Amino acid sequence: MKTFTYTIKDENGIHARPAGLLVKCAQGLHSTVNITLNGKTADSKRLFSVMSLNAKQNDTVTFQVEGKDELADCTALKAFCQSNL
Amino acid sequence: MLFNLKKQTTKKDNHAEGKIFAVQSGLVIPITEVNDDVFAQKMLGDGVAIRPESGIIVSPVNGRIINIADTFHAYGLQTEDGLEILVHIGIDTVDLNGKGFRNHVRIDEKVTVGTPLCTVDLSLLKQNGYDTDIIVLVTGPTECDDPLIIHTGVTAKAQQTCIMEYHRKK
Repeated sequence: MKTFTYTIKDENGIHARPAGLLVKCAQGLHSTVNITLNGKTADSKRLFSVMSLNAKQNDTVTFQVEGKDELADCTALKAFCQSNL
Repeated sequence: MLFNLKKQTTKKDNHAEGKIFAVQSGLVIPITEVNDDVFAQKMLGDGVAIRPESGIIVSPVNGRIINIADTFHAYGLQTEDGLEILVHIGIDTVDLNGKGFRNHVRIDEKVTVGTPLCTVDLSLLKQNGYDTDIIVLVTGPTECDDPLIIHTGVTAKAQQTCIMEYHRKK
């Protein structure tokens, strides 16, 4: 398993639209991707799971990526975060 | 031929059919015509939008509240048969930070078709330049066997007009 952290820059946090884009990105990956924030864990492939994190600007979320392509999938997720969150 | 018929009947028996009703009265338009690329491209799921005639937004299904945006502009519902539905009120309305929205439900609350979710001040949205289309979409289209049956182009009546139908995977 690989993990990385990301601090949210979007002033509205991860609301419906960015959450939907993140889910779309994660669904395209082979890895299992969980996101944690303040002790809550979300399944990145389910919209309401991601939205339930209520992640705000300046919150630091942790991505846990597990699977045979985890290295490449981490790179893809980091790139997604940089340009969308 | 007979075999095929029998097979289809059996297949249908394994399906639950579900209906999704109007969250407000107003013209129902395809989601592809919404003024937001991410929704219009169905990135969050397939569905419709309603051009609301008034600001009382009601539950489109029998089910449970599974998500409420802090800003009260978006609601997640799970139907009794497990489908997940997003009701998103207006475009870019997250920026209002809750202003103009009065929430009527709480997480895990059971709702039926017509239960008020939220009252939105449509004139406040319009005065501030926000599009008031209410998007209703099914977040996991892969959990339906067949594509959604979508009823657009009609002027819906809140909680009475069926706007979408689905076949649930069992």
